[in-house]
Amino acid sequence: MDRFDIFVLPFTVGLVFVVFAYIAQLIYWLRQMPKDEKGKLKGLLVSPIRLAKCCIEIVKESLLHINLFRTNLLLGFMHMSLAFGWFMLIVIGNLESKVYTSTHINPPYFPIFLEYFIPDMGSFKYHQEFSFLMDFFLLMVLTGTFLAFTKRFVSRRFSIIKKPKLTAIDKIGLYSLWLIFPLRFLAESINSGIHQTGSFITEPTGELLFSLGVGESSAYTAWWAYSISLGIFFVAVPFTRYMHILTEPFFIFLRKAKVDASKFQPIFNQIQAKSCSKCGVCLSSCPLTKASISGKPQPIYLLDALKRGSLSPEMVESCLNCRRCEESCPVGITIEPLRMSLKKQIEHETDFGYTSLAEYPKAKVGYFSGCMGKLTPATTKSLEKITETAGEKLVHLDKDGGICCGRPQKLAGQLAASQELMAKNTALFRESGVEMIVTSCPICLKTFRDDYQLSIPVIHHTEYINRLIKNERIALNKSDAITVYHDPCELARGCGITKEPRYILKKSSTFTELPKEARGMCCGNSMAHSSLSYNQKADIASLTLNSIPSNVSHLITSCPACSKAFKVADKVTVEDIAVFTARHAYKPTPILEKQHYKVSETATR
Amino acid sequence: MAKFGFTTRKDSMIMLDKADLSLRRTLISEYPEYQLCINCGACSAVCTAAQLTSFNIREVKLNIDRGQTVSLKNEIAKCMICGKCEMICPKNVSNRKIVLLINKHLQEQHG
Repeated sequence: MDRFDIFVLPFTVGLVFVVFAYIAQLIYWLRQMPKDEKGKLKGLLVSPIRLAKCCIEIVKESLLHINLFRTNLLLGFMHMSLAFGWFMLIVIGNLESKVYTSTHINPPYFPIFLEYFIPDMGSFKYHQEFSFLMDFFLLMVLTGTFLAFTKRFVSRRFSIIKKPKLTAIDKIGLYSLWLIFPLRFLAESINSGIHQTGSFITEPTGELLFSLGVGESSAYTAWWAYSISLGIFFVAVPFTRYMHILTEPFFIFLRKAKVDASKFQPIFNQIQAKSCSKCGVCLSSCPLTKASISGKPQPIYLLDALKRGSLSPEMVESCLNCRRCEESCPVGITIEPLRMSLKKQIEHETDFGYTSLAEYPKAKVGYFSGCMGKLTPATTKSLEKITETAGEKLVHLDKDGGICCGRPQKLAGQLAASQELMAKNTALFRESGVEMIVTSCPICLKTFRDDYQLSIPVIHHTEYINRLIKNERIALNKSDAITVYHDPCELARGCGITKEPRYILKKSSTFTELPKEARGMCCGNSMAHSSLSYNQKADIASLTLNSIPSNVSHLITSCPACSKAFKVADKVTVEDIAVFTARHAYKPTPILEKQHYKVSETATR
Repeated sequence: MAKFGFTTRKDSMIMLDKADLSLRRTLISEYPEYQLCINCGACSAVCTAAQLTSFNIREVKLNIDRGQTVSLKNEIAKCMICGKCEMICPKNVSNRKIVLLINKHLQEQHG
């Protein structure tokens, strides 16, 4: 049995190249990481349980692509069949070659071109089983390739609204990838036609080809073509998006080791850029794409520009910062730190001396309406009514002249100004002796939680109302209103508060969910985007408004900016959750009711 | 012109023909919606900064339209760019954007 032929060279050279490129890349990244973070990696490696969990995650995401299935079944199936099918072909091919040759050391190309080296493998033990499995997974990969091919033409079926632009080298990678498996199929089929070694798909195709007179020499050509396409693909990998196949497991490994990305953000961003598969899910989930507003702030473009070194502040000035892309990313890429670091830093002289005139009253539980909250006095009034019903005391901190939380300055690139305001606010909170802050502005909430080092809890009014209900301080009447809830960006994605408002609405109304693709769509009233016109904002708001089912009477939200943006709605009433709740809240009489219940219970006994 | 004996004090006169309206022109070219402002003052009414000081964004804009930009830098420094004015504006003019543009302009001027 011959164990070498010249045609394996393109494949082998490509393979060696990609392996070396990958190892060099990993060594570079690891060397750039700070010591503490590397320690965390070791921590994961020595703990078998955590390591097992990490491996399961890698199989789930890098091979099976479970997260993509959640976005779109076809898209998930396409990625799964390509990745998992290919992986299984490699694993089973290796096993097969070991069983047939009874040696444990084979050159790397040997299992790949096994049928060339052992053309008459039909006589071997377990051959039936092996050839069935190989055919099965080959069919799987071919289905994936077919789907990938059709995706180019009917991308909407795959939930891809806007296709990412491909560069020349990306195209080389893509076309060679498309060719690999049809060529393998061809080579194996011809071989099967001559030697009857195939299973359920290669055998009939082989017989057909054999009857057409395709013989040994054509098989040899097919093997050559297969090897060349593999070689080209491998050489293209480090320069194209296909690097994500190799980088993503490493990225998952980092994530599972719980490394602190902020300690080595530039390198982490590089790793993220190479983990991005350019699947285009972020493009489709972006409100700007849906409202056909130009600009390239989506992660797919940012990460690509990062790889090319062509990042510019303009790329993030046209972003709403709603973070829908982060939420939908199947790889779990976090783009926010990159985006914030790109904000054009403006050295702007400020005169916030007057803020020392502001004074917050002494309070135990303080209410901070925030700038935007001042524009929706109904929310503040309703909260007052609710706390009165509950017999709680909520002191309005910034009633007479509050200070901005600092986020709008940060989003405009005025970092120094933002820090000045943060320091002022922190001092004012300390002076007032407040022990808990309730705010009705999600923007303030996120800033207080993330950027302030406050030692006291800060909660949003949805959480506050939720607590009042759970502690039976207030109870809610169920009204006949049919409600939907709009998730504000900063509240849902920024602070992870999505369950509380739904709990409240289910108690006080008939609650229905918005369709998935419109859930949490930005309202358009963003302070991050610097060039949106009013009409464009209205277009973004209408994305949500147009997807509200016709039987719905109320659109409930919990952010003053969102309620303002949706005020144009004509078919539904737009209300803050506090306003809606206040109308249906009453004071329960828990002790009496319970006693009564107990009495009746004993009576029936 | 008939003379009724009234005069205008020289120091309160604004000669629009001679005034330097370059900032106004720059703002209009970069943000055409600037012209939509009807000077209603809703922005000043809700302004967070105005609650504590005499800062008046409506006045700032009026002064720009008259070419009086001497105290512009000191006035603009008081703005917290919180964006409340933008949300209340009946003509949907973004004062926040105008302030950011003025900042940019001042920076280019003073380096």
